[in-house]
Amino acid sequence: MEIAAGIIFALVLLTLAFDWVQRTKAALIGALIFVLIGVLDLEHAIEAIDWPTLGLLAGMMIIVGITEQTGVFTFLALRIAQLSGGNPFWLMALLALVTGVGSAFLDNLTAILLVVPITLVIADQLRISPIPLVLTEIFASNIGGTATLIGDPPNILIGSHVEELDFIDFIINLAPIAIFTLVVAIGMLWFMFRKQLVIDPSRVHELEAIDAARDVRGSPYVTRSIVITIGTVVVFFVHSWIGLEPAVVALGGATLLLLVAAPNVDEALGRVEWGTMFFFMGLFVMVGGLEEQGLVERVADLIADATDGSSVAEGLAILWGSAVGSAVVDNIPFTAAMLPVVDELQANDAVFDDGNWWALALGACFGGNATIVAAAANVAATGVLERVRQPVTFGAFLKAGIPVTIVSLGISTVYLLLFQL
Amino acid sequence: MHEMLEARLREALVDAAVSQTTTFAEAAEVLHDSTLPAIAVLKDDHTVVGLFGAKELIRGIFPGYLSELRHRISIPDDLPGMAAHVAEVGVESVTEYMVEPHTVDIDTTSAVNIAEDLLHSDIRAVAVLEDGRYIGVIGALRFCWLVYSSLAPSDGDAPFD
Repeated sequence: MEIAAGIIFALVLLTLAFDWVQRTKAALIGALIFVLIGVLDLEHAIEAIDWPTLGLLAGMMIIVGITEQTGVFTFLALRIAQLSGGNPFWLMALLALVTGVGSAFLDNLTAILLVVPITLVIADQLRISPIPLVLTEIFASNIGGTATLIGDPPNILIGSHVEELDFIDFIINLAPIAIFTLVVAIGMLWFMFRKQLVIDPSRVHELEAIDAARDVRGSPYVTRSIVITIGTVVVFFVHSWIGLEPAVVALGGATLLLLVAAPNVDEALGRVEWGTMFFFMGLFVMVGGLEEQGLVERVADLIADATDGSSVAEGLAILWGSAVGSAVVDNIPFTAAMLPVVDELQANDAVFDDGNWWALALGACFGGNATIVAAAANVAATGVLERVRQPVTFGAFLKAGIPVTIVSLGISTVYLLLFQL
Repeated sequence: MHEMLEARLREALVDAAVSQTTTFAEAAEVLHDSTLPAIAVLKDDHTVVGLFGAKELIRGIFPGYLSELRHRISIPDDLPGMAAHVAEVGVESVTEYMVEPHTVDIDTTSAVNIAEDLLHSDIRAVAVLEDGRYIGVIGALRFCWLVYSSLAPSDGDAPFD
Protein backbone atom coordinates (compact mmCIF):
# COMPACT_ATOMS: atom_id res chain seq x y z
CA MET A 1 0.00 0.00 0.00
CA GLU A 2 2.89 2.32 0.81
CA ILE A 3 4.34 1.84 -2.69
CA ALA A 4 0.93 2.31 -4.31
CA ALA A 5 0.40 5.55 -2.40
CA GLY A 6 3.84 6.81 -3.43
CA ILE A 7 3.25 5.95 -7.09
CA ILE A 8 -0.17 7.62 -7.17
CA PHE A 9 1.19 10.77 -5.53
CA ALA A 10 4.13 10.84 -7.96
CA LEU A 11 1.70 10.46 -10.87
CA VAL A 12 -0.35 13.39 -9.59
CA LEU A 13 2.81 15.51 -9.35
CA LEU A 14 3.79 14.46 -12.87
CA THR A 15 0.32 15.37 -14.11
CA LEU A 16 0.69 18.81 -12.53
CA ALA A 17 4.20 19.27 -13.95
CA PHE A 18 3.09 18.55 -17.50
CA ASP A 19 -0.35 20.14 -17.10
CA TRP A 20 -2.08 17.01 -18.40
CA VAL A 21 -5.19 17.59 -16.32
CA GLN A 22 -6.39 20.75 -14.57
CA ARG A 23 -4.75 20.79 -11.11
CA THR A 24 -7.93 20.59 -9.02
CA LYS A 25 -9.12 17.57 -10.96
CA ALA A 26 -5.71 15.88 -10.57
CA ALA A 27 -5.68 16.44 -6.79
CA LEU A 28 -9.28 15.27 -6.33
CA ILE A 29 -8.73 12.14 -8.45
CA GLY A 30 -5.60 11.34 -6.42
CA ALA A 31 -7.46 11.83 -3.13
CA LEU A 32 -10.39 9.72 -4.33
CA ILE A 33 -8.09 6.85 -5.34
CA PHE A 34 -6.35 7.07 -1.93
CA VAL A 35 -9.69 6.60 -0.16
CA LEU A 36 -11.00 3.96 -2.59
CA ILE A 37 -7.95 1.69 -2.33
CA GLY A 38 -7.74 2.18 1.42
CA VAL A 39 -4.56 4.25 1.76
CA LEU A 40 -6.63 6.05 4.39
CA ASP A 41 -10.31 5.83 5.31
CA LEU A 42 -12.86 8.62 4.95
CA GLU A 43 -12.65 9.61 8.61
CA HIS A 44 -8.90 10.06 8.42
CA ALA A 45 -9.20 11.78 5.04
CA ILE A 46 -11.47 14.43 6.57
CA GLU A 47 -9.13 14.75 9.56
CA ALA A 48 -6.20 15.25 7.19
CA ILE A 49 -7.75 18.38 5.69
CA ASP A 50 -6.21 21.46 7.26
CA TRP A 51 -9.34 23.54 7.81
CA PRO A 52 -7.52 26.60 9.24
CA THR A 53 -5.56 26.88 5.98
CA LEU A 54 -8.79 26.74 3.99
CA GLY A 55 -10.38 29.31 6.33
CA LEU A 56 -7.42 31.66 5.89
CA LEU A 57 -7.50 31.25 2.12
CA ALA A 58 -11.27 31.74 1.86
CA GLY A 59 -11.23 34.76 4.17
CA MET A 60 -8.47 36.47 2.20
CA MET A 61 -10.15 35.69 -1.11
CA ILE A 62 -13.35 37.36 0.08
CA ILE A 63 -11.54 40.41 1.48
CA VAL A 64 -9.43 40.92 -1.63
CA GLY A 65 -12.37 40.16 -3.93
CA ILE A 66 -14.69 42.74 -2.35
CA THR A 67 -12.03 45.45 -2.01
CA GLU A 68 -10.69 44.83 -5.48
CA GLN A 69 -14.15 45.45 -6.94
CA THR A 70 -13.98 49.08 -5.80
CA GLY A 71 -11.07 49.71 -8.19
CA VAL A 72 -8.87 51.05 -5.42
CA PHE A 73 -5.96 48.69 -6.13
CA THR A 74 -5.96 49.59 -9.83
CA PHE A 75 -6.00 53.27 -8.86
CA LEU A 76 -3.08 52.87 -6.46
CA ALA A 77 -0.99 50.79 -8.86
CA LEU A 78 -1.37 53.29 -11.68
CA ARG A 79 -0.73 56.32 -9.49
CA ILE A 80 2.48 54.73 -8.20
CA ALA A 81 3.64 53.89 -11.75
CA GLN A 82 2.96 57.50 -12.74
CA LEU A 83 5.42 58.65 -10.07
CA SER A 84 8.20 57.34 -12.33
CA GLY A 85 7.72 60.40 -14.54
CA GLY A 86 8.48 58.23 -17.55
CA ASN A 87 11.96 57.24 -16.36
CA PRO A 88 12.25 53.60 -17.54
CA PHE A 89 14.28 52.38 -14.59
CA TRP A 90 11.92 53.92 -12.05
CA LEU A 91 8.92 52.72 -14.02
CA MET A 92 10.21 49.15 -13.84
CA ALA A 93 11.20 49.50 -10.17
CA LEU A 94 7.91 51.08 -9.09
CA LEU A 95 5.82 48.51 -10.94
CA ALA A 96 7.91 45.78 -9.30
CA LEU A 97 7.50 47.44 -5.93
CA VAL A 98 3.73 47.81 -6.20
CA THR A 99 3.43 44.17 -7.33
CA GLY A 100 5.74 42.98 -4.55
CA VAL A 101 3.90 44.86 -1.81
CA GLY A 102 0.53 43.88 -3.28
CA SER A 103 1.60 40.24 -3.30
CA ALA A 104 2.77 40.42 0.29
CA PHE A 105 -0.52 41.69 1.66
CA LEU A 106 -3.15 40.54 -0.84
CA ASP A 107 -2.15 37.45 -2.74
CA ASN A 108 0.23 37.27 -5.62
CA LEU A 109 -2.27 36.10 -8.22
CA THR A 110 -4.64 39.00 -7.54
CA ALA A 111 -1.76 41.45 -7.45
CA ILE A 112 -0.40 40.30 -10.79
CA LEU A 113 -3.81 40.27 -12.48
CA LEU A 114 -4.35 43.86 -11.36
CA VAL A 115 -0.95 45.19 -12.33
CA VAL A 116 -0.36 43.44 -15.67
CA PRO A 117 -3.26 45.06 -17.59
CA ILE A 118 -2.20 48.49 -16.28
CA THR A 119 1.32 47.74 -17.46
CA LEU A 120 -0.05 46.95 -20.92
CA VAL A 121 -1.75 50.37 -21.02
CA ILE A 122 1.43 52.13 -19.88
CA ALA A 123 3.65 50.23 -22.32
CA ASP A 124 1.26 50.98 -25.17
CA GLN A 125 1.16 54.68 -24.36
CA LEU A 126 4.97 54.82 -24.02
CA ARG A 127 5.52 52.67 -27.15
CA ILE A 128 7.68 50.10 -25.34
CA SER A 129 7.36 46.33 -25.12
CA PRO A 130 5.35 45.24 -22.06
CA ILE A 131 7.21 41.92 -21.80
CA PRO A 132 10.22 43.08 -19.72
CA LEU A 133 7.92 44.93 -17.33
CA VAL A 134 5.52 42.00 -16.95
CA LEU A 135 8.35 39.51 -16.39
CA THR A 136 9.76 41.82 -13.71
CA GLU A 137 6.30 41.98 -12.10
CA ILE A 138 6.02 38.17 -12.08
CA PHE A 139 9.36 37.84 -10.30
CA ALA A 140 8.47 40.68 -7.93
CA SER A 141 5.18 39.00 -7.14
CA ASN A 142 6.81 35.71 -6.16
CA ILE A 143 9.53 37.47 -4.19
CA GLY A 144 7.11 39.89 -2.50
CA GLY A 145 4.73 37.09 -1.57
CA THR A 146 7.55 35.49 0.39
CA ALA A 147 7.56 38.35 2.88
CA THR A 148 4.39 37.57 4.84
CA LEU A 149 2.30 34.71 6.15
CA ILE A 150 -0.54 35.60 3.76
CA GLY A 151 1.58 36.50 0.71
CA ASP A 152 2.06 33.19 -1.04
CA PRO A 153 0.29 29.82 -0.76
CA PRO A 154 3.42 28.03 0.59
CA ASN A 155 3.59 30.57 3.43
CA ILE A 156 -0.13 30.21 4.13
CA LEU A 157 0.39 26.45 4.36
CA ILE A 158 3.40 26.82 6.67
CA GLY A 159 1.79 29.56 8.80
CA SER A 160 -1.38 27.57 9.33
CA HIS A 161 0.47 24.33 9.96
CA VAL A 162 3.14 25.48 12.42
CA GLU A 163 1.52 26.80 15.60
CA GLU A 164 4.77 28.33 16.85
CA LEU A 165 5.02 30.74 13.89
CA ASP A 166 2.88 33.85 13.73
CA PHE A 167 2.50 36.75 11.31
CA ILE A 168 5.26 38.79 12.96
CA ASP A 169 7.67 35.83 12.78
CA PHE A 170 7.19 35.73 9.01
CA ILE A 171 7.74 39.50 8.75
CA ILE A 172 10.89 39.42 10.92
CA ASN A 173 12.42 36.36 9.29
CA LEU A 174 11.33 36.70 5.68
CA ALA A 175 10.50 40.34 4.88
CA PRO A 176 14.07 41.69 5.08
CA ILE A 177 15.45 39.01 2.78
CA ALA A 178 12.47 39.39 0.44
CA ILE A 179 13.08 43.16 0.21
CA PHE A 180 16.81 42.69 -0.34
CA THR A 181 16.21 40.01 -2.98
CA LEU A 182 13.66 42.21 -4.73
CA VAL A 183 16.14 45.08 -4.95
CA VAL A 184 18.84 42.76 -6.34
CA ALA A 185 16.37 41.21 -8.80
CA ILE A 186 15.26 44.64 -10.06
CA GLY A 187 18.93 45.53 -10.64
CA MET A 188 19.53 42.28 -12.55
CA LEU A 189 16.39 42.63 -14.63
CA TRP A 190 17.18 46.25 -15.46
CA PHE A 191 20.58 45.13 -16.70
CA MET A 192 18.92 42.41 -18.82
CA PHE A 193 16.11 44.52 -20.24
CA ARG A 194 17.41 48.11 -20.29
CA LYS A 195 17.84 48.18 -24.09
CA GLN A 196 14.18 47.23 -24.58
CA LEU A 197 13.00 49.99 -22.29
CA VAL A 198 14.04 53.14 -24.11
CA ILE A 199 11.24 55.68 -23.76
CA ASP A 200 10.72 58.53 -26.19
CA PRO A 201 10.52 61.67 -23.96
CA SER A 202 7.73 63.04 -26.14
CA ARG A 203 5.50 60.14 -24.99
CA VAL A 204 5.89 60.80 -21.25
CA HIS A 205 2.91 63.15 -21.04
CA GLU A 206 0.71 60.24 -22.28
CA LEU A 207 1.55 58.35 -19.07
CA GLU A 208 0.52 61.29 -16.95
CA ALA A 209 -2.73 61.73 -18.89
CA ILE A 210 -4.08 58.33 -17.82
CA ASP A 211 -6.65 58.75 -15.07
CA ALA A 212 -7.14 55.72 -12.85
CA ALA A 213 -9.89 57.12 -10.68
CA ARG A 214 -12.75 56.52 -13.12
CA ASP A 215 -14.19 53.50 -11.28
CA VAL A 216 -13.09 54.50 -7.78
CA ARG A 217 -15.11 57.72 -7.92
CA GLY A 218 -18.31 55.82 -8.60
CA SER A 219 -17.85 53.11 -5.99
CA PRO A 220 -19.88 53.54 -2.78
CA TYR A 221 -17.84 51.07 -0.73
CA VAL A 222 -14.30 52.39 -1.22
CA THR A 223 -13.76 53.81 2.27
CA ARG A 224 -15.31 50.86 4.13
CA SER A 225 -13.36 48.33 2.05
CA ILE A 226 -10.03 50.12 2.54
CA VAL A 227 -10.59 50.55 6.30
CA ILE A 228 -11.51 46.90 6.83
CA THR A 229 -8.71 45.57 4.61
CA ILE A 230 -6.09 47.68 6.38
CA GLY A 231 -7.68 46.82 9.73
CA THR A 232 -7.41 43.11 8.94
CA VAL A 233 -3.72 43.46 8.06
CA VAL A 234 -3.16 45.37 11.33
CA VAL A 235 -4.89 42.59 13.30
CA PHE A 236 -2.64 40.05 11.53
CA PHE A 237 0.34 41.86 13.04
CA VAL A 238 -1.04 41.39 16.56
CA HIS A 239 -2.98 38.14 16.12
CA SER A 240 -0.86 36.05 18.44
CA TRP A 241 -0.89 38.72 21.17
CA ILE A 242 -4.68 38.84 21.15
CA GLY A 243 -4.95 35.06 20.79
CA LEU A 244 -6.59 34.88 17.35
CA GLU A 245 -5.61 32.35 14.71
CA PRO A 246 -4.81 33.79 11.24
CA ALA A 247 -7.87 32.02 9.83
CA VAL A 248 -10.11 33.73 12.40
CA VAL A 249 -8.60 37.12 11.53
CA ALA A 250 -9.15 36.58 7.79
CA LEU A 251 -12.66 35.21 8.21
CA GLY A 252 -13.47 37.99 10.70
CA GLY A 253 -12.41 40.65 8.21
CA ALA A 254 -14.31 38.88 5.45
CA THR A 255 -17.49 38.68 7.54
CA LEU A 256 -17.27 42.37 8.41
CA LEU A 257 -16.82 43.28 4.75
CA LEU A 258 -19.74 41.06 3.77
CA LEU A 259 -21.86 42.94 6.32
CA VAL A 260 -20.97 46.48 5.30
CA ALA A 261 -19.63 46.42 1.75
CA ALA A 262 -21.29 43.58 -0.11
CA PRO A 263 -24.95 44.13 -0.98
CA ASN A 264 -25.02 40.78 -2.76
CA VAL A 265 -23.54 38.09 -0.51
CA ASP A 266 -23.73 35.34 -3.13
CA GLU A 267 -21.79 37.46 -5.60
CA ALA A 268 -19.16 38.28 -2.96
CA LEU A 269 -18.81 34.64 -1.96
CA GLY A 270 -18.41 33.84 -5.65
CA ARG A 271 -15.00 35.51 -5.32
CA VAL A 272 -13.77 32.48 -3.41
CA GLU A 273 -11.75 30.37 -5.84
CA TRP A 274 -13.44 27.07 -5.15
CA GLY A 275 -11.12 25.29 -7.57
CA THR A 276 -8.14 26.29 -5.43
CA MET A 277 -9.94 25.30 -2.23
CA PHE A 278 -10.70 21.81 -3.56
CA PHE A 279 -7.14 21.55 -4.90
CA PHE A 280 -5.88 22.10 -1.35
CA MET A 281 -8.39 19.58 0.05
CA GLY A 282 -7.25 16.92 -2.43
CA LEU A 283 -3.61 17.59 -1.56
CA PHE A 284 -4.22 17.45 2.18
CA VAL A 285 -5.93 14.07 1.82
CA MET A 286 -3.06 12.68 -0.26
CA VAL A 287 -0.39 14.01 2.09
CA GLY A 288 -2.39 12.59 5.04
CA GLY A 289 -2.36 9.22 3.26
CA LEU A 290 1.40 9.37 2.66
CA GLU A 291 1.87 10.19 6.34
CA GLU A 292 -0.36 7.33 7.45
CA GLN A 293 1.57 4.89 5.27
CA GLY A 294 4.90 5.98 6.78
CA LEU A 295 6.21 7.41 3.51
CA VAL A 296 6.75 10.86 4.97
CA GLU A 297 8.86 9.39 7.78
CA ARG A 298 10.89 7.47 5.21
CA VAL A 299 11.60 10.63 3.17
CA ALA A 300 12.53 12.50 6.35
CA ASP A 301 14.90 9.66 7.31
CA LEU A 302 16.46 9.78 3.84
CA ILE A 303 17.08 13.52 4.18
CA ALA A 304 18.44 13.05 7.70
CA ASP A 305 20.77 10.26 6.52
CA ALA A 306 21.93 12.20 3.47
CA THR A 307 22.67 15.27 5.55
CA ASP A 308 24.25 13.20 8.30
CA GLY A 309 22.21 14.90 11.01
CA SER A 310 23.73 18.31 10.23
CA SER A 311 21.10 21.01 10.66
CA VAL A 312 22.96 23.24 8.19
CA ALA A 313 23.01 20.59 5.46
CA GLU A 314 19.39 19.73 6.27
CA GLY A 315 18.25 23.34 5.92
CA LEU A 316 20.13 23.86 2.66
CA ALA A 317 18.78 20.58 1.27
CA ILE A 318 15.26 21.77 2.08
CA LEU A 319 15.93 25.19 0.50
CA TRP A 320 17.38 23.94 -2.79
CA GLY A 321 15.24 20.79 -2.92
CA SER A 322 12.01 22.71 -2.49
CA ALA A 323 13.14 25.29 -5.06
CA VAL A 324 13.77 22.57 -7.66
CA GLY A 325 10.54 20.78 -6.70
CA SER A 326 8.52 23.99 -6.94
CA ALA A 327 10.10 24.94 -10.26
CA VAL A 328 9.24 21.61 -11.84
CA VAL A 329 5.85 20.90 -10.28
CA ASP A 330 4.01 23.74 -8.56
CA ASN A 331 4.97 25.16 -5.20
CA ILE A 332 1.64 24.37 -3.50
CA PRO A 333 1.66 20.54 -3.69
CA PHE A 334 5.37 20.48 -3.04
CA THR A 335 5.02 22.53 0.14
CA ALA A 336 2.00 20.53 1.27
CA ALA A 337 4.05 17.34 0.92
CA MET A 338 7.06 18.85 2.68
CA LEU A 339 5.17 20.05 5.79
CA PRO A 340 5.07 16.64 7.52
CA VAL A 341 8.61 15.89 6.31
CA VAL A 342 9.95 18.99 8.09
CA ASP A 343 7.81 18.08 11.12
CA GLU A 344 9.39 14.66 11.12
CA LEU A 345 12.92 16.07 10.81
CA GLN A 346 12.26 18.17 13.89
CA ALA A 347 10.57 15.40 15.86
CA ASN A 348 13.70 14.60 17.82
CA ASP A 349 14.73 18.20 18.48
CA ALA A 350 14.31 19.21 22.12
CA VAL A 351 13.78 22.89 21.22
CA PHE A 352 11.67 24.25 18.36
CA ASP A 353 13.92 25.42 15.54
CA ASP A 354 12.32 27.56 12.86
CA GLY A 355 15.27 27.49 10.40
CA ASN A 356 13.94 24.62 8.31
CA TRP A 357 10.57 26.31 7.94
CA TRP A 358 12.18 29.48 6.57
CA ALA A 359 14.28 27.33 4.24
CA LEU A 360 11.09 25.69 2.98
CA ALA A 361 9.29 29.03 2.55
CA LEU A 362 12.22 30.62 0.71
CA GLY A 363 12.81 27.59 -1.50
CA ALA A 364 9.16 27.11 -2.44
CA CYS A 365 8.43 30.81 -3.04
CA PHE A 366 11.66 31.72 -4.86
CA GLY A 367 11.57 28.44 -6.81
CA GLY A 368 8.30 29.73 -8.24
CA ASN A 369 10.32 32.14 -10.41
CA ALA A 370 12.29 29.51 -12.31
CA THR A 371 9.83 28.37 -14.95
CA ILE A 372 6.63 29.57 -16.55
CA VAL A 373 4.62 26.83 -14.79
CA ALA A 374 6.22 27.08 -11.35
CA ALA A 375 3.65 29.43 -9.83
CA ALA A 376 0.06 30.42 -10.57
CA ALA A 377 1.06 34.08 -11.02
CA ASN A 378 3.48 33.14 -13.84
CA VAL A 379 0.81 31.22 -15.73
CA ALA A 380 -1.79 33.96 -15.26
CA ALA A 381 0.48 36.84 -16.32
CA THR A 382 1.93 35.12 -19.37
CA GLY A 383 -1.64 34.10 -20.27
CA VAL A 384 -2.65 37.78 -20.36
CA LEU A 385 0.40 38.55 -22.55
CA GLU A 386 -0.59 35.78 -24.92
CA ARG A 387 -4.14 37.12 -25.21
CA VAL A 388 -2.82 40.53 -26.23
CA ARG A 389 -0.50 38.91 -28.77
CA GLN A 390 2.72 39.38 -26.84
CA PRO A 391 3.53 35.73 -26.16
CA VAL A 392 6.43 34.71 -23.95
CA THR A 393 7.92 31.32 -24.78
CA PHE A 394 8.98 28.79 -22.14
CA GLY A 395 12.61 29.41 -23.14
CA ALA A 396 12.35 33.21 -23.02
CA PHE A 397 10.92 32.94 -19.52
CA LEU A 398 13.73 30.60 -18.45
CA LYS A 399 16.37 33.08 -19.69
CA ALA A 400 15.25 35.56 -17.07
CA GLY A 401 13.71 33.17 -14.53
CA ILE A 402 16.71 30.91 -13.98
CA PRO A 403 19.24 33.70 -13.20
CA VAL A 404 16.73 35.41 -10.88
CA THR A 405 16.01 32.11 -9.09
CA ILE A 406 19.67 31.15 -8.72
CA VAL A 407 20.61 34.57 -7.36
CA SER A 408 17.58 34.54 -4.99
CA LEU A 409 18.55 31.11 -3.71
CA GLY A 410 22.17 32.20 -3.37
CA ILE A 411 21.06 35.15 -1.23
CA SER A 412 18.81 32.80 0.76
CA THR A 413 21.68 30.37 1.30
CA VAL A 414 23.90 33.11 2.73
CA TYR A 415 21.01 34.42 4.84
CA LEU A 416 20.16 30.99 6.24
CA LEU A 417 23.81 30.25 6.99
CA LEU A 418 24.32 33.59 8.73
CA PHE A 419 21.10 33.91 10.67
CA GLN A 420 18.99 30.74 10.73
CA LEU A 421 20.91 27.48 10.56
CA MET B 1 -40.83 25.11 -35.94
CA HIS B 2 -44.31 25.93 -37.08
CA GLU B 3 -44.56 26.12 -40.89
CA MET B 4 -45.76 29.70 -40.85
CA LEU B 5 -42.86 30.85 -38.64
CA GLU B 6 -40.39 28.83 -40.67
CA ALA B 7 -41.56 30.44 -43.90
CA ARG B 8 -41.28 33.91 -42.41
CA LEU B 9 -37.87 33.09 -40.95
CA ARG B 10 -36.62 31.96 -44.36
CA GLU B 11 -37.84 35.26 -45.83
CA ALA B 12 -36.14 37.25 -43.09
CA LEU B 13 -32.75 35.51 -43.27
CA VAL B 14 -29.91 37.66 -44.52
CA ASP B 15 -27.01 36.19 -46.43
CA ALA B 16 -24.23 37.80 -44.46
CA ALA B 17 -21.17 35.60 -44.48
CA VAL B 18 -17.50 35.71 -45.32
CA SER B 19 -15.01 32.98 -46.07
CA GLN B 20 -12.50 31.98 -43.41
CA THR B 21 -9.75 33.36 -45.64
CA THR B 22 -11.25 36.87 -45.47
CA THR B 23 -9.24 39.63 -43.80
CA PHE B 24 -10.41 41.51 -40.72
CA ALA B 25 -10.88 44.68 -42.80
CA GLU B 26 -13.07 42.93 -45.39
CA ALA B 27 -15.14 41.22 -42.70
CA ALA B 28 -15.61 44.55 -40.90
CA GLU B 29 -17.01 46.07 -44.09
CA VAL B 30 -19.42 43.17 -44.67
CA LEU B 31 -20.57 43.39 -41.04
CA HIS B 32 -21.10 47.13 -41.33
CA ASP B 33 -23.08 46.82 -44.57
CA SER B 34 -25.23 43.97 -43.26
CA THR B 35 -26.58 46.02 -40.31
CA LEU B 36 -26.79 42.68 -38.45
CA PRO B 37 -25.31 42.15 -34.97
CA ALA B 38 -22.97 39.53 -36.48
CA ILE B 39 -22.01 37.78 -39.69
CA ALA B 40 -21.06 34.15 -40.24
CA VAL B 41 -17.58 32.92 -41.12
CA LEU B 42 -17.71 29.91 -43.45
CA LYS B 43 -15.50 27.11 -44.66
CA ASP B 44 -15.46 26.30 -48.38
CA ASP B 45 -18.13 23.61 -47.86
CA HIS B 46 -20.51 26.22 -46.34
CA THR B 47 -20.25 24.96 -42.80
CA VAL B 48 -20.08 27.72 -40.19
CA VAL B 49 -16.78 28.04 -38.30
CA GLY B 50 -17.47 31.24 -36.38
CA LEU B 51 -19.38 34.45 -35.91
CA PHE B 52 -17.95 37.94 -36.20
CA GLY B 53 -19.86 40.75 -34.50
CA ALA B 54 -19.56 44.21 -33.03
CA LYS B 55 -17.68 43.04 -29.94
CA GLU B 56 -15.09 41.32 -32.11
CA LEU B 57 -14.81 44.51 -34.14
CA ILE B 58 -14.12 46.48 -30.94
CA ARG B 59 -11.55 43.89 -29.83
CA GLY B 60 -9.75 44.19 -33.15
CA ILE B 61 -9.81 47.96 -33.61
CA PHE B 62 -8.99 48.96 -30.06
CA PRO B 63 -6.01 47.77 -27.96
CA GLY B 64 -6.24 44.19 -26.68
CA TYR B 65 -5.57 45.24 -23.09
CA LEU B 66 -9.02 46.86 -22.77
CA SER B 67 -10.72 43.53 -22.12
CA GLU B 68 -7.96 42.60 -19.63
CA LEU B 69 -8.39 45.65 -17.41
CA ARG B 70 -10.19 44.82 -14.18
CA HIS B 71 -11.53 48.38 -13.88
CA ARG B 72 -12.25 51.21 -16.23
CA ILE B 73 -9.55 53.86 -16.40
CA SER B 74 -9.48 57.00 -18.51
CA ILE B 75 -7.03 56.55 -21.36
CA PRO B 76 -6.48 59.41 -23.83
CA ASP B 77 -6.97 58.73 -27.53
CA ASP B 78 -3.70 57.99 -29.25
CA LEU B 79 -4.65 58.39 -32.91
CA PRO B 80 -1.24 57.60 -34.48
CA GLY B 81 -0.94 54.49 -32.29
CA MET B 82 -4.49 53.41 -33.05
CA ALA B 83 -3.98 53.98 -36.79
CA ALA B 84 -0.87 51.78 -36.76
CA HIS B 85 -2.79 49.13 -34.83
CA VAL B 86 -5.76 49.24 -37.23
CA ALA B 87 -3.41 48.90 -40.23
CA GLU B 88 -1.86 45.81 -38.61
CA VAL B 89 -5.17 44.22 -37.67
CA GLY B 90 -6.81 44.99 -41.02
CA VAL B 91 -4.70 42.46 -42.92
CA GLU B 92 -5.06 39.69 -40.35
CA SER B 93 -7.47 36.81 -40.93
CA VAL B 94 -11.00 37.19 -39.57
CA THR B 95 -10.55 33.78 -37.92
CA GLU B 96 -8.16 35.40 -35.43
CA TYR B 97 -11.03 37.46 -34.07
CA MET B 98 -14.23 35.44 -34.65
CA VAL B 99 -15.95 33.62 -31.80
CA GLU B 100 -17.50 30.16 -31.58
CA PRO B 101 -20.57 29.99 -33.82
CA HIS B 102 -24.12 29.89 -32.48
CA THR B 103 -26.07 27.90 -35.02
CA VAL B 104 -29.62 26.60 -35.29
CA ASP B 105 -31.06 24.14 -37.77
CA ILE B 106 -34.16 25.51 -39.43
CA ASP B 107 -35.79 22.07 -39.74
CA THR B 108 -35.31 20.88 -36.20
CA THR B 109 -35.16 23.98 -33.96
CA SER B 110 -38.26 25.65 -32.57
CA ALA B 111 -38.68 29.41 -32.33
CA VAL B 112 -38.51 29.08 -28.55
CA ASN B 113 -35.14 27.36 -28.81
CA ILE B 114 -33.81 30.10 -31.08
CA ALA B 115 -34.94 32.65 -28.48
CA GLU B 116 -33.19 30.59 -25.81
CA ASP B 117 -29.95 30.54 -27.84
CA LEU B 118 -30.11 34.29 -28.42
CA LEU B 119 -30.58 34.91 -24.70
CA HIS B 120 -27.63 32.74 -23.80
CA SER B 121 -25.16 34.18 -26.27
CA ASP B 122 -23.17 37.42 -26.17
CA ILE B 123 -23.80 37.90 -29.87
CA ARG B 124 -27.42 38.73 -30.52
CA ALA B 125 -27.52 36.75 -33.77
CA VAL B 126 -27.50 33.13 -34.87
CA ALA B 127 -26.37 31.44 -38.04
CA VAL B 128 -29.20 29.35 -39.49
CA LEU B 129 -28.39 26.00 -41.09
CA GLU B 130 -30.23 23.54 -43.26
CA ASP B 131 -28.80 20.02 -43.42
CA GLY B 132 -25.73 21.32 -41.67
CA ARG B 133 -25.06 23.99 -44.33
CA TYR B 134 -25.30 27.73 -43.82
CA ILE B 135 -28.40 29.43 -45.28
CA GLY B 136 -28.32 32.82 -43.55
CA VAL B 137 -28.07 34.87 -40.39
CA ILE B 138 -30.86 36.35 -38.28
CA GLY B 139 -30.43 39.01 -35.64
CA ALA B 140 -32.33 39.03 -32.34
CA LEU B 141 -34.34 42.16 -33.11
CA ARG B 142 -35.46 40.97 -36.53
CA PHE B 143 -36.27 37.51 -35.19
CA CYS B 144 -38.34 38.81 -32.29
CA TRP B 145 -40.23 41.21 -34.51
CA LEU B 146 -40.91 38.39 -36.96
CA VAL B 147 -42.40 36.23 -34.19
CA TYR B 148 -44.25 39.10 -32.55
CA SER B 149 -45.78 40.40 -35.75
CA SER B 150 -46.81 36.87 -36.70
CA LEU B 151 -48.57 36.20 -33.40
CA ALA B 152 -49.87 39.58 -32.22
CA PRO B 153 -53.61 40.08 -32.72
CA SER B 154 -54.52 42.36 -35.59
CA ASP B 155 -57.89 44.10 -35.81
CA GLY B 156 -58.81 42.57 -32.49
CA ASP B 157 -58.26 38.96 -33.56
CA ALA B 158 -55.37 36.85 -32.34
CA PRO B 159 -54.11 34.66 -35.23
CA PHE B 160 -54.27 31.43 -33.18
CA ASP B 161 -57.52 31.85 -31.16
